[in-house]
Amino acid sequence: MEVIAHSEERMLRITPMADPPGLRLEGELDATRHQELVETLSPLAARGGEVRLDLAGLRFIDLGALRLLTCLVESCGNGVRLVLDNLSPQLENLVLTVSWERLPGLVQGRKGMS
Amino acid sequence: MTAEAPADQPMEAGRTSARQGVQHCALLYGDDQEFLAGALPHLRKGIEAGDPAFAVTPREEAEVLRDSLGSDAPAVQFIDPSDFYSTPVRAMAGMMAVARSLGTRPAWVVASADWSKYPDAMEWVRYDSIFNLGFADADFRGYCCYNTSVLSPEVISLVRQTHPRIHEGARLRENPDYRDPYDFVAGVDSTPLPPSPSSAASMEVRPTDLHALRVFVTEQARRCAIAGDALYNLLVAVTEVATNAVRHGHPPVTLRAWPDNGLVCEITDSGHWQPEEFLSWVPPQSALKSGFGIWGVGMLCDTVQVRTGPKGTAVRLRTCGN
Repeated sequence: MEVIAHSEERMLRITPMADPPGLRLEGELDATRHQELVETLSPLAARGGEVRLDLAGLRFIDLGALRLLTCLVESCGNGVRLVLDNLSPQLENLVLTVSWERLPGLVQGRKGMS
Repeated sequence: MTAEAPADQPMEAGRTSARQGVQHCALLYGDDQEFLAGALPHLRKGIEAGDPAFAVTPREEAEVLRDSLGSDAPAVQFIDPSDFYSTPVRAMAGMMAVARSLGTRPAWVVASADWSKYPDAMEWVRYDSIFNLGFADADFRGYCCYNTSVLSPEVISLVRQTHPRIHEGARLRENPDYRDPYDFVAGVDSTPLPPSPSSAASMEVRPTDLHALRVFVTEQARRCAIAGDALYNLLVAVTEVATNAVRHGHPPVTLRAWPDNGLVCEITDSGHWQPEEFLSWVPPQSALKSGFGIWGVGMLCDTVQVRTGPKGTAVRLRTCGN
């Protein structure tokens, strides 16, 4: 496993994945990084189908990001589905607390580290 | 209005009754006998009508009810109040989920919990008041049971202000002391919170570095032995409130934290962005709806208290731990 320097742990790192199309998100995602995520994800979501988000290395996500992803799906209007892979137990607990049904277009992906 | 009806004559009609919205009654009792005299006939009406009947009662009351119900006991679903009444906003969401699953069927509920044992008991009183609004479409027939020999006169006075009907002295009657929920809640909101202690740790929130406030909260939580999901939930809640304060309030935005029945985190700013009271209580249909954020904060903390005054807005979050 890659050792991440402490100073970089907090940074959101976004790595594109080609097949299947998606993004790997690592670090912490809050309002300071929302814009960056939208800019990277929007072109992928615009193609429709499934876009996979590998969240194995995502240590923090805020409610705003869940709202943002839901809004992105809605604004695409093409039935795109954002598949959340490798949710950490705490992140999954957060999603269950607000409930998947309040996050239309976001779906549970595979579990366990990729 | 003081229209009275004998307690043994239901104010509701029988199984063919039209939906009448929430019926939220307080049962004031002094001993087991009075408790049973009110609660038992209420549950039996539900059982006889073939409707769902629930008892959200602590173990002692549950046992008293079970003994008296005898062979009818299995017809009542017993729920542990410490599960159901975990936090006010979660309890509201739970109630709404039950209401939705029942559709138009009436639900007969006997509920009992000692709010005075909870920190920020006033938030549970607020829940009781808002309950009168939140279920206009549900046919809940609820008896909230309060032991007058245990609870303080102050608590009983609040009970009288938040329940449209009172069952007392073997009679069910309209309650003249009941207050409109909007008025009642406005009264709660105009009552200042106790000041934060001078010993509270504090930091200024910088809009470009929300990570720093999570480091701060994590350290304060560690001192209160708060970890795991409770800590993660608190970090999400604090981040959400701080983001709102940065966006809608005015600097400086300050985060304070101190131990008190768990950990209290308070975010203050000099603006007036108080969220719409009832939005923060009603589960939004989806994350796209306004109010999702502040509702989520309520789901993630034990209590949320918001005050707006001349000095600005303060949002106080309490997490009791795991």
